[in-house]
Amino acid sequence: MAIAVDASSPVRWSGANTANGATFVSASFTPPNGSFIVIMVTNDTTTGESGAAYTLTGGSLTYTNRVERQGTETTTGGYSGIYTAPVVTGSAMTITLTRTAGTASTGRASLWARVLTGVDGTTPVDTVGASNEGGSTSTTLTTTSITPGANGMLFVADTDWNTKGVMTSSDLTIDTANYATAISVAAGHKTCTSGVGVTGSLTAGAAGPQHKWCQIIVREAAGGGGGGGITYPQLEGSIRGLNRGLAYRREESGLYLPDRTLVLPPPRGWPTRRAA
Amino acid sequence: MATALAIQSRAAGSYTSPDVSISKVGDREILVQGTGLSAADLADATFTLTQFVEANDSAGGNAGWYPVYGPDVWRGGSISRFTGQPIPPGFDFINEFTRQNSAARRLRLRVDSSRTATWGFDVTDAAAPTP
Repeated sequence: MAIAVDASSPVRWSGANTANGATFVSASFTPPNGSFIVIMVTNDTTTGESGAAYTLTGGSLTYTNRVERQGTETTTGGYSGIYTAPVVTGSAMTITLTRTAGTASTGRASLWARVLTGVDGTTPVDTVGASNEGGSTSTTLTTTSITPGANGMLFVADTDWNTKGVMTSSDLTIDTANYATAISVAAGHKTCTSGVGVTGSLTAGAAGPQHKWCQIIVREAAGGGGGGGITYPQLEGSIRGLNRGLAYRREESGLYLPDRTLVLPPPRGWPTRRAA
Repeated sequence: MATALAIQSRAAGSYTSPDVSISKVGDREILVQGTGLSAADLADATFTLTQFVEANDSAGGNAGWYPVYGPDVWRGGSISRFTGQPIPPGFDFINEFTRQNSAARRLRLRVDSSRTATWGFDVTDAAAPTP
């Protein structure tokens, strides 16, 4: 199954980012079993603020902060971060962002989440490094090129701290909002190909923005592009019936192949040949 | 396209604007702007106005309404670092509209007020900006 955005994804939600303890709660939605949620968080901050902290909760899921660009980093001001959460059993839920530290009253916090299907259950997100975040004062921002380790989907989150209006993109499918006298934000995605460098482009609503961006690649499940390739759950059933005398290893492609270098001897006392 | 909740005193509760016909929701910039709030209400951190923008696939507006933005929880006392003044409620947005892009025919705003206050809202749209 190819990686895809599920129709259960909630729409953007936001709120006044007034003080420590403020919460920002999404509308209720019901992700499917085995799906994967990507949450893009964009916040206003005061000049160079690094004291604010946030946590994500909801649906009894485990949320992982994959990458973030803090208010103290270049360009100074504004925050963007991307979190993920795997869903084992889908049920009605909300996502809550809670501000847990920081004293400044600032304009807005704004979030956008996408529920994905067809995501690699073993390594859902590519390695994150220095190329996964940045700041820019260019009207049109192009994120640093990163090379996917598998086919998948690039996600980008961006806060324009100078509030130049709703953003546009020439290549990403985006969701964008503008909060007057606070921040402009955008989040978007596009598919990407294993081994082929990928960037995302976002254009501010007017000249003179101050972008604070970050990005990740969510990896497609093995066989996702092949139209019905073998998936891990299917293999689990069959692998139990495989020859006990052989070890199997999981290839990069996700397939399980006999590992001839790790042939195990039969347990002591077992016949090595069927009796005539 | 434009719709509004007129400026008037309202008790705590939920209020829905008249729904208006639209040719296409996807890729439209929708502007939601609160109006008429007093200085005291703008500065009151206990006062909230929760806004939802909803769309409908039926020309008559009788089928189910679904959210295209929200909630946006505006709270008094949120100070702009540009002006040093409280930020009024409101936002502009363009969303992905995966489901709604070609089907939505009606649009409306819903506002939940936490207490009695005088306020109004204007909702308008603009052509999609060109990247």
